[in-house]
Amino acid sequence: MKVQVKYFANIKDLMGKDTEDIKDMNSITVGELWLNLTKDMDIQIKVLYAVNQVYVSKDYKLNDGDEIAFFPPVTGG
Amino acid sequence: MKNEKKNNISLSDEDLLRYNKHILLDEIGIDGIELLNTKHIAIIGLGGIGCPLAQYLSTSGIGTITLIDSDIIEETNLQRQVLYTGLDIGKYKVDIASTKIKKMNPKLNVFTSKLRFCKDTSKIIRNVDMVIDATDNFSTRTAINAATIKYKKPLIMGAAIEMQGQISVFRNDHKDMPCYNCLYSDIEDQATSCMNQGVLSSLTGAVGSILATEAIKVLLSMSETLESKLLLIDFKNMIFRNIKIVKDKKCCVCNEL
Repeated sequence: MKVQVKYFANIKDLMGKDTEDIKDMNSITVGELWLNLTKDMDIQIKVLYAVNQVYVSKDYKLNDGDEIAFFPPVTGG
Repeated sequence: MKNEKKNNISLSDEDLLRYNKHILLDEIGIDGIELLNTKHIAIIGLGGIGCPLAQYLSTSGIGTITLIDSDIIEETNLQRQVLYTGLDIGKYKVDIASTKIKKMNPKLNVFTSKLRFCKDTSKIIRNVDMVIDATDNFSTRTAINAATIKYKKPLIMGAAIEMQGQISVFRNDHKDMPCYNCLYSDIEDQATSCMNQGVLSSLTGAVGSILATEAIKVLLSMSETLESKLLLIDFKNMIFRNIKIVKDKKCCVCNEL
């Protein structure tokens, strides 16, 4: 299956790109996808997930054609 | 709000002039100003977001504002906390902020609290119509969320760090709606607050301004608000994005209270 990934705010800086298509992937959760994408990187930040513009937990099972957004939590003020 | 003809207008001539540009808006009008005059809002956090928020709400026609913040003003605040000057360093934020917004609108009723907002002090919000969270840490935000669920108050939340911001409206006055903890359940403050990170001053101004806008819209029952949505703001790339928030049926806060 194929999904489109979008990186938002400082996640974009960490990944060095704002979007990418992931092809030929198995059915996995959005949390597993994040771990796969960052497995060779030293990234230790909290990330949040949205699929098709809806906030989801890391256990959300991805489907073919999904649009995934990774974004950071923000609590400052 | 539609501006319908009324026989009894409670606004004075001075008020009609002061709020003229809001009265001319179809979405507000005289009825809207009269309604806002009856409303009481609590602003928790008088920092980079809370300062512009308090300014805009104090001049908008809101009747009463309660300012809650236990901090004193420090030099590092002055880059973005626009109600304060160097002469205010060492003084309580709520004291200076209340004086400034009272000067801007003498008819505004202002109450202040220097107590840190937590479960034990949360009853201060029980008689307000709305709570706005402009604080800077996760633990206070969770306490505010729990209190607004307990007292059934709408909660408007804004946050900013570096060049990114987030804003949402949680209808904690309604049943079966997502709350702040449905979104954020296990965040660590170190990575997400501005204690040791930079923040763009104009970003905090923009977040405060959007919070004031959402507050007025919710109080006047306008249709398109950020209710159960999270607005993501990326000032570095100037990108705005909305994400829908759904209720977490396992949320230990809104399902328990």
